[in-house]
Amino acid sequence: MSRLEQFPTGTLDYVKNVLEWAQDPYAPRIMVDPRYADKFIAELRASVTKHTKNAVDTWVELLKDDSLIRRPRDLLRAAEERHVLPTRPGRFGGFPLNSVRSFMHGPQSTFWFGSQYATEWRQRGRVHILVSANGVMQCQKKPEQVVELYERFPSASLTQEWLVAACRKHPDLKSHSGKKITLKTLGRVPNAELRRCVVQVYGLSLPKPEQKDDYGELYILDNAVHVIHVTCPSTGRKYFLGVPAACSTAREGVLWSFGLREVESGVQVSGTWIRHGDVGLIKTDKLPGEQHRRRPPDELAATEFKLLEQA
Amino acid sequence: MKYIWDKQREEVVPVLWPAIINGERYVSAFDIYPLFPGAGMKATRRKGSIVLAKGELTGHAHTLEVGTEEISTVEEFNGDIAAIVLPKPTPLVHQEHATVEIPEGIWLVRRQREFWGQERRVAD
Repeated sequence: MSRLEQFPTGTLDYVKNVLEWAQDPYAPRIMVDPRYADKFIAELRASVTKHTKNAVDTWVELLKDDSLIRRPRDLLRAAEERHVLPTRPGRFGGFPLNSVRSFMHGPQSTFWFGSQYATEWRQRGRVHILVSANGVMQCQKKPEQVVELYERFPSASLTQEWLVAACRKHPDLKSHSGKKITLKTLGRVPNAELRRCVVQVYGLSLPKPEQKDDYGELYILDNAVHVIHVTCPSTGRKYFLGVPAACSTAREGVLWSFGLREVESGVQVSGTWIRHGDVGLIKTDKLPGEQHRRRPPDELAATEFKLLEQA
Repeated sequence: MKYIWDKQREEVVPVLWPAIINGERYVSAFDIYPLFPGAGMKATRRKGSIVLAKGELTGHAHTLEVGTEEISTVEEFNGDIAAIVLPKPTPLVHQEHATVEIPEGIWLVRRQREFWGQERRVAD
């Protein structure tokens, strides 16, 4: 039985055990993005017990000190430097480095390769959970377990693994037969991020794109809805977005989604707009007038509809 | 900044995407029209920052780091637009997106929307 199998696959217990393992040079490593370190630390502290207190303190110390995302071996080295973790047994897999025998054999020796030390050394270097800006980046757990992990530790953000698991847990998709998803089904997934993942997990049967440009492709769903497949400029991910059928190009669709409409140049003041994910910032010379402020919502919709019809 | 796990190098490496999309590259001129009622644009003033939008699923937020000086102003119009006056260039940060420096001036902020038979805000 391997060391990993000895531990329950539950979340909090798993992490606690991992922390207890912090005293053990063979423990799996948890790495946390410094930006999330404080929050993660708070969650760790909340889960502290009499037995895990020392281990938590150790990790907290390391997390606070290290301003960079580190490789497991770097983290271990940092631990050694601060004497908070026991020094690893030796450079060559548990063999004392300063002994005569280790000096004689060296790393190339057949004595070391293939030995139990070598195996353990390889296991030690493995990252079991890696929490970072993008959440769990590498995880040897099953998707369901990752979901549970995130429920316990929300500071670790959404990731591919989480999304895949979320797809499998999603009530509408739980009983999905594994068939490819159609554009129509895609519209029922409320969240754009989740939608992107659903496509990755199940695949998508797409018709031929109706139109293509720098922004992406445009597909026709029905008389009322067109679907654009566009790239987010700052993350580089591609999203599916529904737009009204009045939009005939992907570019128009993107502009529409930010409430912008291209007009012939010279008519309006040429402007700048900056896109940051799903937030658009539009440069203006003056604040919107009182009229805009007071117009009732229904009238807003009517005006917009007219504009769309014209476009 | 976005990071990925490089399997061969066994370390986390940053991925650099184009940081800024300048509107003039795409739109020479544009007209702003109101969004649907209840578009839910809400810019929240926090200490030293303005939160423009927060992801529902991810919890990530687009945040203007205006610093401690309480000079920049936020105004909301009809819930679909927020007007922000920035006295100096201000970084707009997000956990996943690259940081963008927003030049000083008056900016109208909008959330992206989508249409699947019915208009709704894009959620992430």
